[in-house]
Amino acid sequence: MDATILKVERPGRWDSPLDPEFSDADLDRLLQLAPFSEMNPESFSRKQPLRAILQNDSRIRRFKRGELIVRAGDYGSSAFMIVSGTVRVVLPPGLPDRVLGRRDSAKKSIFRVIAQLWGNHRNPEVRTPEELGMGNRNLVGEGTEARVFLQDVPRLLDQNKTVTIGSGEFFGEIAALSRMPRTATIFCDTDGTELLEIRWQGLRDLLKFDPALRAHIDVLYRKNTLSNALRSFPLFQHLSEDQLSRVAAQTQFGTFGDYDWSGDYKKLAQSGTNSPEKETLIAQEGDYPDGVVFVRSGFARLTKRFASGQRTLNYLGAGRSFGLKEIAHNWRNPENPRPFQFSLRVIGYTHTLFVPTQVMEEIVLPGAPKHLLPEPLTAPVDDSDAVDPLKDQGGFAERIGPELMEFLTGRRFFNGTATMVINLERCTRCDDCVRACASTHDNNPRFLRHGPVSAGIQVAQACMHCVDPVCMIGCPTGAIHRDAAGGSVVINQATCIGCTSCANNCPYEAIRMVEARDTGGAFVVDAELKPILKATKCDLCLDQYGGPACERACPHDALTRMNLTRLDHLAEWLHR
Amino acid sequence: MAAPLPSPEFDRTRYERPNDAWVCGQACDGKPCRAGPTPGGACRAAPECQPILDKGPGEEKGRWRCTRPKEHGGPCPDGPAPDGCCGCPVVRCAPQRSLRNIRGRFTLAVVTLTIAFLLLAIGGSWRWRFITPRSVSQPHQGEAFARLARDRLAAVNDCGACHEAANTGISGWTQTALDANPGMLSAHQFQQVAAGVIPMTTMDSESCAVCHDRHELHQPNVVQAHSCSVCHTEHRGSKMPAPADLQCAQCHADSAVMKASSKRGRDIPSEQFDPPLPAGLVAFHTPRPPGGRTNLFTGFWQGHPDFGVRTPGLKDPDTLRFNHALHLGDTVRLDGKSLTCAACHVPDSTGAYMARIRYNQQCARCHDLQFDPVHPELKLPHGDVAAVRAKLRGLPVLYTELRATELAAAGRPPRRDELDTFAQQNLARMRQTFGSGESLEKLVLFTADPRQRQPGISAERRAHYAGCAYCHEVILDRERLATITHPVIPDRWLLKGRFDHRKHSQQNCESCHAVRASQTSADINLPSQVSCAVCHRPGGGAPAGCSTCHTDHLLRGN
Amino acid sequence: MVAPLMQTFVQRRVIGIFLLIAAILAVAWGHARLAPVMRHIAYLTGWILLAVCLFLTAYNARKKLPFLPLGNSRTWLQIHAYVGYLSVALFFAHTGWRWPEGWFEGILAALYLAVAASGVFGLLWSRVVPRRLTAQGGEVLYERIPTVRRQLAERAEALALNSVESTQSVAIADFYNHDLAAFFVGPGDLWRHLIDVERPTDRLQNRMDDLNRFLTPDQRVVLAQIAELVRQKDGLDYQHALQLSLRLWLFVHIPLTYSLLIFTALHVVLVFGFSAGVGFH
Repeated sequence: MDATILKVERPGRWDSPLDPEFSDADLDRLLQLAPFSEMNPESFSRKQPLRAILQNDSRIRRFKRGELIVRAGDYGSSAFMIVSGTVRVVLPPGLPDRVLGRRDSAKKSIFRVIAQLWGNHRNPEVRTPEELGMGNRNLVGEGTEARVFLQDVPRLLDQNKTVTIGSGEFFGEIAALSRMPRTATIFCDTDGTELLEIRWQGLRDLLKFDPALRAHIDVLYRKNTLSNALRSFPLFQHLSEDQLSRVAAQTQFGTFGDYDWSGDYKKLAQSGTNSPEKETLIAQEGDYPDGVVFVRSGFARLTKRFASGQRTLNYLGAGRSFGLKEIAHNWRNPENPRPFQFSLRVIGYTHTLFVPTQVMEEIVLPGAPKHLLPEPLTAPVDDSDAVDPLKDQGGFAERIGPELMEFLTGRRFFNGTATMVINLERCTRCDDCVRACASTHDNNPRFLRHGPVSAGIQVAQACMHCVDPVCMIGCPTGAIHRDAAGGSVVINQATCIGCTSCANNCPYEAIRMVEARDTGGAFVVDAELKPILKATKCDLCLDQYGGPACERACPHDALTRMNLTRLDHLAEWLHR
Repeated sequence: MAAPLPSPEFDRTRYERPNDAWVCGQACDGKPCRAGPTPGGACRAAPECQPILDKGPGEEKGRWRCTRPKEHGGPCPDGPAPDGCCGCPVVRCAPQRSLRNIRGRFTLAVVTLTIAFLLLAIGGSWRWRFITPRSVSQPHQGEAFARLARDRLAAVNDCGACHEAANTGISGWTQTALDANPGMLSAHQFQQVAAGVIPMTTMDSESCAVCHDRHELHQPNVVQAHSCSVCHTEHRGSKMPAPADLQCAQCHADSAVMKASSKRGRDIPSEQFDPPLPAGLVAFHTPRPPGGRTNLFTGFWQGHPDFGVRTPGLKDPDTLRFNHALHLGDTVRLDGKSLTCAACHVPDSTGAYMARIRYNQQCARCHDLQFDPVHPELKLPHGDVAAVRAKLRGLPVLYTELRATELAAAGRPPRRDELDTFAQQNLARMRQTFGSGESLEKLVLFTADPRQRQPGISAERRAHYAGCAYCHEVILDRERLATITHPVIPDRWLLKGRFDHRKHSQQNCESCHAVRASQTSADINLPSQVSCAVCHRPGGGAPAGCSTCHTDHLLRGN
Repeated sequence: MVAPLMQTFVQRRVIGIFLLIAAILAVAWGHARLAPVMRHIAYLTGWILLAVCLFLTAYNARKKLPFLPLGNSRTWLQIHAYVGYLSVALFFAHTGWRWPEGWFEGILAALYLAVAASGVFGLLWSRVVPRRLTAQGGEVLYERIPTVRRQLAERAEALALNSVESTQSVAIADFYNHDLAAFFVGPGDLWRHLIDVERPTDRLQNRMDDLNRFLTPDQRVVLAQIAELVRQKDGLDYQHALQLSLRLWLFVHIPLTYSLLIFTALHVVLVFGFSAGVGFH
């Protein structure tokens, strides 16, 4: 190795505080406020005391009237607590994109794009000093981007329903913790409003050590978020405020599976005992339909008994419901009630809302618009086979075929919004995709053109940009995050400390640790002469023009980046 | 088909880098090292770690500690050497080029070889044989032509006779190509070049004219003189093809060019347009149309004007009287048969044209110039009025000789008195029939049919006793009594093109020459262009190109 | 379900072939119409052909600029293929359906046809081979084949060597040395895999079957394990041969393309250098 070795300090958990200027005075003031004043510092661990958590993982931000705090649809990894002042939550349907000041992700300038022809480093995995985290650390957290103010607030207030919340209230915690997009846009109501921003790692630690806050968040969730959550389903949009609150009051949450499901899945996959029969049941075929299950996040598997096993018909992601057909049928034909026609099983981690049958029949169904009500069931109750299970659910399962269905479900590929799918019967293994990837990533490929194969279809080991990105669980610095605009999962090289937790979490082998090098090609090492590792993966060419280079580089139409959370696209792609 | 094989296991924790030009030399052995080769292809192998010296407080020597990262197996069991060197040196390798890199170099090699091959091919003396697209015509090849090119054109070789560039090297070719007008890059002119409006493939006519010195380019009213090579294309094999119709159409189908030609032709005397014929041949000159021959047309079957000889009202001015209809009718018989065209019209020595009609060869068989019905064996000479008169004035001598010949034939010796008596009797008979000798002369010369008044002579024999005026124009001449206008029978009627009777031998003469209805020699019995174009058209079975008739430089001015 | 309209391959082929036939007919019609009135139509077809060839070569440049929004490679390839076919029609229009007689032009024409033929072969091969590879299975990255080959060889060798001790016999070890060692080390017979007849394993399998008759149950277990490795090695050789073939045809197509362009450049110089004289006096 070259004689000159670049030595840097090994990054640590709190090397990059959210606000390096967070003053002790502010911190003391914060600790006087509820709920922190009510917390017992003794219950926190010695390595992560309350004060250190707040100091490193939170900061106080001041907003002016009309300034946007969070935007609906954005992914965010921070929760907020109102320290003083008030904010307004915009209820659905929400503000139009233009008003929210949305912009494209920062693309490279056209010159820098062309400069990749000659400017890419010739050595592999070269990192600039900035990317190595030296000098100014631009840590990811909300607020680092330009602030956006809403124009003509009074008119907006006229045209939109808003709810005002004040000091002591939490918001954004569900989005931060469940890795779901923000449900509502929130903007500042009074000048000088102070918000405490807590990044999700900090919030996670707080919840871990303080049961009161845990309960508090649950109450808040029911009160603030549930209505919005229900409103996001079309079936509840026609309800009045009063009706909705009655529905909300009786709605039950269901959180099934494990927050850290990927580890579980890896174990299951390794032992080879990954079968639908072993998954937790949410609702069972043949049971009395006691309510409609709405999937909030995560995934559930829709199965039907077939021979002596369970056949997967579909997987339901966020926004889908289960049991509505049967309940609507029973409501219209009380003399001829039907049980659940299918079973619903948890895959990994599923967060559901459960609305009981009685509530559906009394409040929701009577006023529901006709087009939202499902077609009546026609087959007799006892002859469940008469409903061709494959024809149902849009017929996608039939077109995809049971082998591939089982493959996609068993391996949890439905999680991907930009899964790299390769049709091996067209792929000439020319590696144009890999080279294109390298050209757009400083001469470094960011995926392995290899992966599990089923029915001639290969799912390559490239980041799928999951709906439920388990890789983000456990990142100590928030280096791995969702891109503000597109929601793609990206890794900030400057704040990645090479802990490998994302690479280990990813069930799809899409993240690879690489040893950083300097421009001369020598490995960068720390004081202990150990290499500096960086997590790397596909970033969907966010900073390039024209979309993912791999897909565009495939000459034979064999490779595509596909949203596998739905089956329609795949079914069509397979039958081109 | 058996179930697909499972994918083999391999290290999936590192990216594969098909974009790299070099692969670790140990990779083909299945054990690439961690550092990999440099971008330039050098081995970067180094010890697996760089040991660190741990020295406790007060300790003098310290201990070397292995720093191999856990991703690569963690600290090695044996640890570093006492001198601080890593105990696990990596074997150096010779990095290999990737397949794609080899392809790039292969491509480069092929490109280099191609250039080298071309330099070799066009660098040596065989360059001309290498670049010539197709052989040139027979006259333009061989040592004799090369000598001509050297002697007359100071060309380096035979190619240089026509191609300026061939007298230079490769750079000269390029220069000539760049100087070409229109140039390679004058894209706006491509269409015109392709259309032939701007002739691209033109050779220096001066080069041609050095040998082909007596060739004029075309008619004198041509507004743009073309290079020879515009029409005469070389490199088309050993026989140079005839100029293409397209080339003729470039001007003859272009109204602007024709208009300009017409204008220019106005000031040129019409005889300059007529081509000379070989000595001794008689041409029938048709008057030049007012606008010249500038009709717009694209092919013989498409708008080609009728032949000049077919101009309405045009008559054969010849003074010889001849009735085709009569000769082909039932009246005239030779050896008991009706006449055919071939009885008189026979091919000339080339076979292409018909030989000129001559009295001795064609007419004399029937028209014998007899004058005494009692003695038809007595004949007058043809072609000279003085000779005819002399013969008639010596009639006594004629009869005396006739009787002497008869007696000699009978084997009897001639007796003077017998001869005289014979002559006197006949002279008296002649005088009784025709009057004086003078009147006989006049009858023979000026009367078409001197025997008309003789009722005793049968009709079919009448013509045999025709006078000069029967066929000829006989003019009274005070001095010589009579002058006979010399008949002029043209050998060539169609002067602008070539015709070959041999090639039309399958046709009946009368299918083209409508002579059966022609009763006077003023009729011009040539076929119309339309009747030619029945066959001479695409699909008509006969060639239709311009060069079928308009060959060589028949059209030259003088 | 509202799904974006996706063009099927059949639709795309139908459209492509339709456009191609239309274009070829247009070339034929245009040529037939213009040839009688354009004496130098070769200049027109020549420049068009050159432009088409440069466009076809530009696909290579597009591949080197994946980061520029220059259109999808798949669209490029489609156009590349169909324009390639069209160029054959243009080529024959240019030469006038006649094989050039001179050396230079003969080589130029041969180069063109070689490039076109290799392109057609490459396209067909690119459609056929992936199906064969996928049916065979054993998907592996081409660059990792040496690694896997070595692993298989090491495992086979270990099995054979260990059998001496575990079965108290050198039968399998001898068999390995004599019949299998070379098979595991080398890349296998390329041609047999390519044409997919009489695979080397058929022969090896027969020998193993023969040997099997004379083995003890212990030895048979070891031999079965080795047989499985032979099957995997054969699959690996198959992948190697076919993946290599998918890369090797470009060793003809690309270098000849550049040769063709060099010849074409000289062709242009010769055409202009040797036809330009004095046009008008």
